[in-house]
Amino acid sequence: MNTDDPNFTAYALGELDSERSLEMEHLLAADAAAAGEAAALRQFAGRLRKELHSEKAPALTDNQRARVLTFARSAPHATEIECEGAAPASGGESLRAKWRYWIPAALAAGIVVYLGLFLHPAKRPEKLPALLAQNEPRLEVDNPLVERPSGQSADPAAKPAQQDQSPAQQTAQETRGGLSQRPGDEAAKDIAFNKPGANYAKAGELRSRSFGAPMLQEDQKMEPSPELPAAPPHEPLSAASAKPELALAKQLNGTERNMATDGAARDAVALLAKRTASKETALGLDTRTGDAPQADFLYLMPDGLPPENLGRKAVAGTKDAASMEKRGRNLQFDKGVEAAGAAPAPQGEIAPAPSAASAVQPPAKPAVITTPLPTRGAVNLANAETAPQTYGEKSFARNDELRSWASDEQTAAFVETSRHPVVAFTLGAYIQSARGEDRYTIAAAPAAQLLNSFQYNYSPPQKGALSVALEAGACPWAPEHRLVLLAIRARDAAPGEALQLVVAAGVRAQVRFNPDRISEYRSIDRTPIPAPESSNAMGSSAPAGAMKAGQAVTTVFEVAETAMPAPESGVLARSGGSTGGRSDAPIDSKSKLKAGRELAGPTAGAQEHLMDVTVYWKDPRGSASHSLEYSLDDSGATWSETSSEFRWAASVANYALSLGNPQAGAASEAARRLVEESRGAEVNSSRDSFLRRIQQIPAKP
Amino acid sequence: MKLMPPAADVPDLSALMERYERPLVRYALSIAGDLDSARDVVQETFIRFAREQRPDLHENPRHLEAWLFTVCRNRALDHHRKHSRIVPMPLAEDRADEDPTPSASLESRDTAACLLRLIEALPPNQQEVIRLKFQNDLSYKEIAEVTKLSVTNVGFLLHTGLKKLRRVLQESPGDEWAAMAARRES
Repeated sequence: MNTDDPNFTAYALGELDSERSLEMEHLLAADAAAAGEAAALRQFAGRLRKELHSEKAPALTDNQRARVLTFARSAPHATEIECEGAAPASGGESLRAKWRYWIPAALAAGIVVYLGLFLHPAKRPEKLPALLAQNEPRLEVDNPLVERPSGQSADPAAKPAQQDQSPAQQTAQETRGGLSQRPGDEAAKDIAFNKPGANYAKAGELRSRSFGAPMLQEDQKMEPSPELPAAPPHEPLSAASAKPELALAKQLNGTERNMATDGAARDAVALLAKRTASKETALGLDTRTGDAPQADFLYLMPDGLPPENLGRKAVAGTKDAASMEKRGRNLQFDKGVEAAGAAPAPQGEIAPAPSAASAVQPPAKPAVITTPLPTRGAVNLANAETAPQTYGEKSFARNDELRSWASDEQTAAFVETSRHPVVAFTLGAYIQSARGEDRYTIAAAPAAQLLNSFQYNYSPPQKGALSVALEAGACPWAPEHRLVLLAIRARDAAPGEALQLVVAAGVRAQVRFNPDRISEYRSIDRTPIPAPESSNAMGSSAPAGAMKAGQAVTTVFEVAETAMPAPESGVLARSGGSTGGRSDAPIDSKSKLKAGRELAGPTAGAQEHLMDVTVYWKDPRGSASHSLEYSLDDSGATWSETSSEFRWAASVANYALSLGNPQAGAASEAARRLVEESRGAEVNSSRDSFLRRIQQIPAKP
Repeated sequence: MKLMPPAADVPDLSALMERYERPLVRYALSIAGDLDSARDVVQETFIRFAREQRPDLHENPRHLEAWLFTVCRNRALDHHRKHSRIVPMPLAEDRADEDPTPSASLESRDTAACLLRLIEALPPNQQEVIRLKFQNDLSYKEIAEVTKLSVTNVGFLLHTGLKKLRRVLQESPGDEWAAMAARRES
C-alpha cells in the first residue's frame, strides 16, 4: 500500500468519509507497515497540534475590544448585506474571484454606457421625456385668440362662482341624468377653464403636432397658455433657485422609492409641487440603485411655461454627486439652469411654500408629461414587466432589442418598468442601463396621456385618410358640466403598406365652441409642453402632426354651460352629421358655414349646438390639403346613453384626474370602480391590463 | 436588498470574542506578519461580524468559525499587501501579553522558535493549511472554504507539508523535535 498518498494522510487525520475509511481499514488490515505508518502519522499530528496550540496567542487590546462592543451596540439591526472584504461562509467568492469577473464586467459596462450616453444621445436615459414625445402626434389646444378675463382662471375665488348654479342649471342636470356620484378628485375641478370668445368661429384650434415641431406659431410664442392661468413674469431659473430641491433630493437619497406607498417620497414631491406650484409640477423621482454610485434624481417638470423657462432638475447623489450632476447637465431640462449661468447653489433649508396671498397659485393640475400617442399595436404594455416584450406584432427576447427596434422605427413607445402601475401602463419608457434597468417613478399620470394608451373602437374612415368622432355626454366628476369626446382616426394600412405608414401630415383640428351654449371649457389635461429648440430627440425630420395608419388620437373637453333651461325631450336639434350627442359624419365643407349658422340659429337649436370642429391635413407625399367639418349638438345624453368608448375615455380621464396633483399617487375607490364599469369592448387587452394595474394602487380614503 | 434578523447581541459578541480573538490574532499574525496589523485585522473582523445579519452564522458554529477565519484571512491578506514594505515596530505593551515565568518563557520561546522555524520553512500555502488544521482545528472542508481551495488541494497540501516536516525532523541531529517535546512533557 502506498502511504505517500494524500488519501492516506486524510485517513490518518480522520478526514475520510465512513465508506472510504472502511475501505482503507481493510487495506491496512492486510498491511502492517502501512498501519504503523498511519499510527506514526497520527502521533505526529497530535504532537503538532499540541505544540501549535501552545503557541502564543495575543488578544485584542482593551481599547480594541471596547470599540467592537461599542460598534455592536450602535449598529443597526437591519442592514443590507454587504459582500465586500470576505466571502460568505459557503458559496461565496473571494475578492480575487469577484474581481476576476467584475473587472471585465465593469469595463464592458463602461463601454456600453459610453456608447449609450455619448455616441447615441437619443438613447440617453436622461432623454426620457423627449424620447416619449418624439415624433408622435398628440392633441394640443392652442387658443390664442380667446381672451380670458384677467385672473379668471387663476383666481380660486372664481371657481365657486362657476359652480354656483342657477336652479335652472340644476334642473337641467337632473333632467339630463348627470351622474350623482363624483368619483373624481377635487383636483379635477381645479383645472382652469377658458371662455369662448365672442367670435367663436375663430376661437379654438386643436392641433396634432410632433414634439419636434414648433409648438406655437411665431406670433403666439409669448402668449401664455390659454388654458393655464397667466404665467408669472418670466424669472430665469438659476442653480441657486434649485437649492431647496437639491437639499430635498439629498434627503431622499439611497433608497428606492415607491411613490404610491412611500410616504416620505410622496411628501417630498408634495412639498416640491406646493413650492413650485406657480411654475412647475414636481413630477417624481428617478432612483438608481446598485453597486454603482447611487443617486436620486428629483425632477421638476415644466408645466405650461414658455420654452426659456424649461425646467430645472435637482440632482443629488450619495456617492458621486459630481458625475451625476454632470450627467444631469446633459438633460434638456437643465437648460434653464445653464442659461442662467449661476454658480452652484449652497446648501440650504427647504424654502417654505409661498402663501396664497403672496404668489399666484394656479390650481393643482395633474403632472405634465410629454405625451406620445400610440400607434396601432404600439402600446401593448400588458407584458411590460415580463420578457419577452411584445411590441405590436413583434416580440423581442430582450428589452434592448425592443429599444433598438423602436428607435429605428422612429416610434416612441418604450416600455417602462415603473413602480407606479398607471405610469407603467402609460409612459412606456424602458431604459436599459449597464447593470439592468433604471426605473422612473412618477407621481401621477396625465389624463391625455392615459387616454391615448388604449385602442378604441372608432370607425375607420370610409374614404380618405381621417375620420372624426364627436360625442357629448355627462361628466362623471362634475354633473353640472358636460364632456365632449373628440377623436381623430387614421385609416388602416392597406395590404402591402407599411405598418407605420404616415397617412396624413400636418393634422390639426379647429374647435369652435358656441358661446351661447358654453360659458367655459377646458381640454382635459392639456400638455402644453414646449418643443425643443432643435429637432426632436430622435433626430427625426418627420413632418409635424403626422398620423400613421390605424392611429387614433383622443381628447376630452369639459365644458360648462351657460344658464339655460333644460332641453325638453323631443326638441333636440339635428344638424349636419350630428345625431343627438354624437357626430361622426362630416358636414359638406362647401356649406359648412351656412350649415353652422343655420343649424346654430337663434332658436332652441342654437342653444343645443355645442361646437364645430374642422380637421385639416395634407397628403404626406403631396401638397393637397383636405379638411372635414363637423358639428355637434348636445342632446343631453346621460351617462348610460353615451357610447362605450365615451364612457371608457371619460372614466379613464376621471381616474387620471383623481390622481390629481403629483403627490396623490392614488385615486379614489369610486374612480376605480367607474373605470371597471366602463371597460366596454376590449381591443387588445390593454384595458384589462390597465384595470389590473390600478387595482394594485391603494385607493385614497 | 434582503433584510435579516437582528445580529448577535452584545453579550453574545463578548463571548464570541473571548472564544476566538486569540486564535484569530494568531492566525492573522501568521499572515500579516506583525501584531499591530493582526489585532487591527481581528478588530475589523469582529466589527464586520457585528454588522453581519446572516442567521446561519448564529445557528451553525462551524459556519461561524469558518466565516470568522475567512474574513480574518482576507483582511489580513489585504493588510499584508498594503503594508508588505513596511517593517512594523512592536509597542512595548504588545510584547508581554502574558506574563510567564522566566523559565517557562524561555522554554516557550525555544519551543515556539523551533516550531516556527520548522513550519516557516514550508511554503506559505502549506504553512497556512497546517495552522488551520492543527492550530485551529478546522476540517478539510472548512479549510477549503477559508482558503478557497478545493478539498483535494487542501489534502494534498497537508499531506505534503506533514511529510516534509516529518522528514526534516527525522533528519535533524538528535531529533530536536522529539527532544523538545520530551522536555516539555517532563
